[in-house]
Amino acid sequence: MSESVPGTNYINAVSGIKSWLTTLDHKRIGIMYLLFIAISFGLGGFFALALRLELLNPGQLIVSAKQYNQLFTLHGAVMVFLFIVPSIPASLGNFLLPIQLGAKDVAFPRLNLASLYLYVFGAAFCVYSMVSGAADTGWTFYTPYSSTTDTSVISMTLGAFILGFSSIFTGINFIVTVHKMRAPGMSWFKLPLFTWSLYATAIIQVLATPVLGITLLLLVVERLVGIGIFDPALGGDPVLFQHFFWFYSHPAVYIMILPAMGVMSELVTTFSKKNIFGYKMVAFSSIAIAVISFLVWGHHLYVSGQSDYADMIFSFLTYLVAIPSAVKVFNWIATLYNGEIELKAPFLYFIAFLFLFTIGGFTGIMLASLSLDVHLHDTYFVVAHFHYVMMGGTVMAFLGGIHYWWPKMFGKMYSEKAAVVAWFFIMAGFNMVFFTQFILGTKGMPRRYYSYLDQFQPLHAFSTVGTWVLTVGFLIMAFYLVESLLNGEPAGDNPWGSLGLEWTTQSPPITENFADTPHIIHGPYDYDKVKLS
Amino acid sequence: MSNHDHSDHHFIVPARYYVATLLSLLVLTIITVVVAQYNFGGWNLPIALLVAVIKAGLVINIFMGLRWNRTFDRIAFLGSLVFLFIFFLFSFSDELLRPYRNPIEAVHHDIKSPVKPLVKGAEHHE
Amino acid sequence: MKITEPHKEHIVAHHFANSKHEFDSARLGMWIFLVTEVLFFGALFVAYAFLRWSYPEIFVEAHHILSWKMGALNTAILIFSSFTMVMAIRSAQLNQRLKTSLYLITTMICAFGFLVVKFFEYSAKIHHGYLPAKYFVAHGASEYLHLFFGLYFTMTGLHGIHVLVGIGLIIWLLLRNRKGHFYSNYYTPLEMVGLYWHFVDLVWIFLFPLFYLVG
Repeated sequence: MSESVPGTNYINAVSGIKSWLTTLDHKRIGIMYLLFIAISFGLGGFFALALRLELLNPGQLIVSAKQYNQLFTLHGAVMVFLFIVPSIPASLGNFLLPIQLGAKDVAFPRLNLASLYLYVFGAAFCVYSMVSGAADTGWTFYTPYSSTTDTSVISMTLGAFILGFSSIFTGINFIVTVHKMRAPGMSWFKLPLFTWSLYATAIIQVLATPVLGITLLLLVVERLVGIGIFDPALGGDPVLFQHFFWFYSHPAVYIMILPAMGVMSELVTTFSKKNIFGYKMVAFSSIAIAVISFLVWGHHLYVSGQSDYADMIFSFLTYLVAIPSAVKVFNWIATLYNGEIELKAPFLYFIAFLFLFTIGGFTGIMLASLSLDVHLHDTYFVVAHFHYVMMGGTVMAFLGGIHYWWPKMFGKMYSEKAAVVAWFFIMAGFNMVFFTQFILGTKGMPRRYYSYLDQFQPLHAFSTVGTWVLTVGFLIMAFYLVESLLNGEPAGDNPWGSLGLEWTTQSPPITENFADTPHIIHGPYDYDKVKLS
Repeated sequence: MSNHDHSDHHFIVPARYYVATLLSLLVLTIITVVVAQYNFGGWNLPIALLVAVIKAGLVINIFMGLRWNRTFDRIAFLGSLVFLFIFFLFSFSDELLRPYRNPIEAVHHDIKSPVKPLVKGAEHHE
Repeated sequence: MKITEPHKEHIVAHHFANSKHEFDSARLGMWIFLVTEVLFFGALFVAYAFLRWSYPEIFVEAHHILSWKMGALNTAILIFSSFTMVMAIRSAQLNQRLKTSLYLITTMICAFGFLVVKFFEYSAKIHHGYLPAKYFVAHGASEYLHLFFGLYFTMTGLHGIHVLVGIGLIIWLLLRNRKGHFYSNYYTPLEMVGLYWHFVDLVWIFLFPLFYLVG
């Protein structure tokens, strides 16, 4: 292995589009994923802006009722399958996992590239379905409507099927990487908590995604030849579809949140210069969330015709899954106590997550209660709940992670002032959009409705204006991030003064990550034991 | 570090294990076919499944080598069965615990369904 | 078959410490992939359970329509092919390159045989009109018989696709073996395809009694 030339890093080591498209370097793959994920977020956001614009008034504004159904379907499908499920694992996870383990690459670099290709291929199917008569079933594709509607359900579901394989391959790769590619001295309990969270996420990806695959495949076959197992007119059971669908889709939301929680642990330790409170509990809670997440899917089926006994069992188990999440929140707060807190941009996103995810999680407990859910099911309360956990949770942590690891990935620093301004817009905008929707929901406004009673109009209008505030925030962010790539201050190897292994490498790292295989002596959060020079 | 490693670490299973497994599997297949010719009522399914599980155990342990492979591979595979069982248990128990069966022709409504069934002639089922 | 030439020395990928590290990682990766296949096919078996619980009569009727003899023949073929596959791996471990190829070819012939039997079975069903709902034109005593055949074609069809993919993988192995890639210290692709192939056999071990035998 040649000595690394100063100034050489994974970005400039080899040049040309072909070198990027055929790369086996996990960092390049992570950056390409980041780009596609950002584009998907923009696309999903565009659909959100459009549908919220329609909801400014009851009655038609810019689209018909059927087109409105297509808008919220596309918003959901793009955001879930193209954006949030791959978000942190495929971009930040791919980039950081081998470096955090002290390895040269993931276990299966070619599988990693295949995963990226499948993502693009699946996305192409989804985009095709948008232009060929977009599905209007909701992203949940409930039968028998989805098996009989005349819109492009098959291409969208096939797209999601292919994306599922992309997710599965990432999961397989990460599990084997964590088991087999750790540097000498890197025991399981010296792993960064971000790694633990990626491992737990990979377990879910590997166990749950195949069931979604089969569900979508059965839906495609149902539309093509009409087997009938989900269609009551043919003798089938539509609730069976819901069991199949939610067996994946509930654990999927933990695929969304677990990596975000991992990022949170990294942020809280670096920006309070303190060891994490209760490392083992936080690590095990990730695994606990992964396991228990498979036991609760029926809480999506409370009012669907599921038996009362199943309702009760799922409700009880859903309360259980909140416990490990709460453990993490308490441990983060305890970590902050007596720490040397630095209010930098990544830490602002930590704070955002702390408040917004707690609201989201708490309202999840409210929905877990059968008696409350009977009234709140399919209202805007549910919409607000999941946006608080997915956007107030995962997206905030994702943004925090991007701002935290940006200097490592690109060797450039962004404008801190611009970042703070963007944060304010995003926080304000987010709460304007979604807190309002809690109120709308408790007042009885149903979700996925094109039109509504006049009394809901002021709240809907306020929520819509919030989306414009959010958009301003994201536009500012896009601007200063791109600007940093072009004109940014060179960031040092360790601008935040963190003890994580990834900060011992060059910024940006060389292709092999480390000049020599690191030997791990201390843990990633041993601020009380190790003094950084 | 050397990329040309010559350590031989692979355990070679004696051929007799494989031959014995092949013969056992064929015998078990014959057994399951013969037993299926008789009607044991409600026991038909459990008996057939039991034989299938024994055959599966032989394939997994001997042909796939899990008997000699005491690494995480085992835990992963057994774990998958656990989660599959959870999926089956919870959704099937919902099915079992539903208070009534509602055959499509038993309930008459005068509601015109907006959904068009794929099969012609199914419209007469409301 | 150039068996007299020495094998091609395997170069371990740069991110692995040694060939054992590479082999163990590949094997773990394949087992995790099989975990996903367990959940993939397993979900279909859950659908089977629902269908059987709701309409036991269609299984009784279908039992007489499907040919258990062809099903049993296919079971024997796949079991034998699992044996030849594992013997192929063993031959590579013992540096017996010719035997490796012969066992692989036998496995492939068995796989083709399986598909040929399936072809005859499917043709017979199609000829009599036992097809999923839209195309179901046969006369059955039970009104919901089309549900059985929908699931039958889906599950055995998906299994058949896996057999086809297996054939492709075996051809790939044969081509590589011909070039002398596999020997006692490197037979990882053989082991991986072997695990996949045994899994395909496993699925059929359950499909056979559940569709052909239990009425």
